Amino acid sequence: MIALYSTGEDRVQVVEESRRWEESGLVSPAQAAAVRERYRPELVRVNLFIRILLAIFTTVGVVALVALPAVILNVEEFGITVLFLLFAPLCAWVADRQLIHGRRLYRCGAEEVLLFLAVGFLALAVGIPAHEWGRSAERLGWLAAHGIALAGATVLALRYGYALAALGAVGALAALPFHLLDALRWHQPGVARIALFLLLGAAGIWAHRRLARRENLPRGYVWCLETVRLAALAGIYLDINLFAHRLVWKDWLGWTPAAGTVSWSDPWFDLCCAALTALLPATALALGIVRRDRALLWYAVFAGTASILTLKYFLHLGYLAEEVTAAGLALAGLAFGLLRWLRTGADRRRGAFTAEPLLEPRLYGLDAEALAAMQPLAPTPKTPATEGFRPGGGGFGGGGASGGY
Amino acid sequence: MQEALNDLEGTGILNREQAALLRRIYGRELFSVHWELRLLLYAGILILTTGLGLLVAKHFASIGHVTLLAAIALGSTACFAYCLRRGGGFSPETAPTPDAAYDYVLLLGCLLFGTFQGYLELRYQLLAQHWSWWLLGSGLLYLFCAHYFDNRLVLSLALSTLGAWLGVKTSLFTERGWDAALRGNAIFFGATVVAAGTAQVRLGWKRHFLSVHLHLGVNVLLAALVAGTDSRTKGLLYLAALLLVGAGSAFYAQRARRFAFLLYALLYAYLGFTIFVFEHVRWEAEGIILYFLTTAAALVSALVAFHRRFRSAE
Repeated sequence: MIALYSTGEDRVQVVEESRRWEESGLVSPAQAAAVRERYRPELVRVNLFIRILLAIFTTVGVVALVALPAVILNVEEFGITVLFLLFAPLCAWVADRQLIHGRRLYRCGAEEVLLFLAVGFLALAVGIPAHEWGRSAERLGWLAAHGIALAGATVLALRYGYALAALGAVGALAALPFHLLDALRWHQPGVARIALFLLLGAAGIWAHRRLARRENLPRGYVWCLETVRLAALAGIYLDINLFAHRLVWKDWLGWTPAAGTVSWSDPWFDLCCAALTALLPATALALGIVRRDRALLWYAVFAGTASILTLKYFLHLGYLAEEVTAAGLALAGLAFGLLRWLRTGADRRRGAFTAEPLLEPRLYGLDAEALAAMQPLAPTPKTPATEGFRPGGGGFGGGGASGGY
Repeated sequence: MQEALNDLEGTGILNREQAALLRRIYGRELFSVHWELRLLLYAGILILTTGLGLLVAKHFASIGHVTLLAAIALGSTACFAYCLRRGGGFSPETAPTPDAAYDYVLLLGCLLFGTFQGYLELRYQLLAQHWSWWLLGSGLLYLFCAHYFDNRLVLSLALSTLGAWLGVKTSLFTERGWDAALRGNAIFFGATVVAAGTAQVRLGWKRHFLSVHLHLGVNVLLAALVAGTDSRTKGLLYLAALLLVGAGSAFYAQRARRFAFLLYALLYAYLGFTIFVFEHVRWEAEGIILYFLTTAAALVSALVAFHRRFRSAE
């Protein structure tokens, strides 16, 4: 990651966290203001919504800027390629040199979009002209464009710590085996699927291992690694779950296994899918609890809910209505039971776990106002203690040496 | 974070207990699963009510209507009884929730009540072609519950049900030009929701409901006005109203530092303005591209100026 970000992110993080402390009532507004003053970041940031607006209108402007000479000069494939080759480095230069290093912009929308557009333009510049050189060249051209998109997204994730770029990289990586086989005209979705599994598995394990040392990593890297891990896990889960329904593989990808190969009706197919559909959320839950890893817990909640809902594809216990009702009852009962169990523990906790809201949720850069926009699940900021934080006194009011918190 | 906490404690900004608690939180010695469990509870209740709906549709012939209706009514009543027993009664201010399940039990009760109404109408057709009045009835009940039990989740449900009632009523009973009538109703609904939220703040009554009112009301209002900008006869009127409401939303965003309303204002206004311009002016491709280029450049410049003036990140 560029030095400007790796050194400046720490201050940004403290400032953002101080807002959570204030909203949770752990510190007084005066204390939070003092923290913000002491850790005033050198990087220039904007509010999330202004960031979205800047990203949208920068995209509109740059696309129009590229389209204008193309329309005026009435260019065809070659001309468009030249335009893309001109604009790709220009966008990258403006974003990196002028906006990031020159004006110290940090996730302000405009510079992010310019970098993404640079990668997109470069990929299109390789893919578009191949159209004129025949079918085989076109396939290889778009494969090369795919590779550029993958490499570009990876560079953006590594250099600037953009989680969205990391997500794009995982998506491009997942699609690569299929694209490669298609370009080589080797129609073996089974091979592509194995490659997909291996790639996603390797990416997920690598990210998980790197995250074990998250305290020493810049915040942007942590977000990228978290994104890679969750995207890989989600990809694997969706694949095994949807495979059991034959939905994607049969209807969308048109996979009909040839004679002598694996059959849809092979019993171990469904058994493996069922086992993995249950194992993935269960493993994530176990790891999440042992390591107190919030991302894994969220994954376990979503994947577990999906597994319960799609149980009927694996175990034919009854009909949809009964199963959905039972699933709802089971989930609500589980959540309710856990809430009560945690609250009846000593100091309203069991081990390190508590059902009390210690800090308001952090959604990776979304501020409190963004949460408020997501009504009605948004939390309500608590009234901060007027004299700062008062420890002890039972309930959930303090910490440290005073016992209870 | 640990280094920053040491520093903040050393400089006296945080006291010893605060720093110790935050160290425990960031060191994961204390780990809250509050939001994860709430999400699980919310998902469970939504799935449960969906399943009950399916169950009713499937078994109403075999189980018997009265039995099913009684079971649903009993479930709904039990939920309301739980909330009445656990809740602290009406308060014009924010009322603390007695437990994490409380909000969701109320939601379940309201959803079961909706299922009960739907089933009753489906089976006995009590209101026949006037069935949309059920929506009004349930919307009003939800509104009452939201205020009495102090629940923003149910308030959202109430406002969307009332909006649906207006929409259904319009589409059922307006024979000609129902899209214009629908638009008019949407404008009326959006304005009423915003006005109600503002009035509540002025009266000091459930001030914390304002954001729910504003997010829903402003979006409905702006979307309805955008839909009218392509009108040949009244397009200018709609555009003027859209720009006026957009300006108000942007002004509120700046004043209250709630920049989501700036996003709404700019996106809807830009969309409406673009529709109006392309509806009334015939341009070549170059002109269209130039339009997007100049407007995007102007808006980016305006946003940068806005950020510099109001320091949006602070």
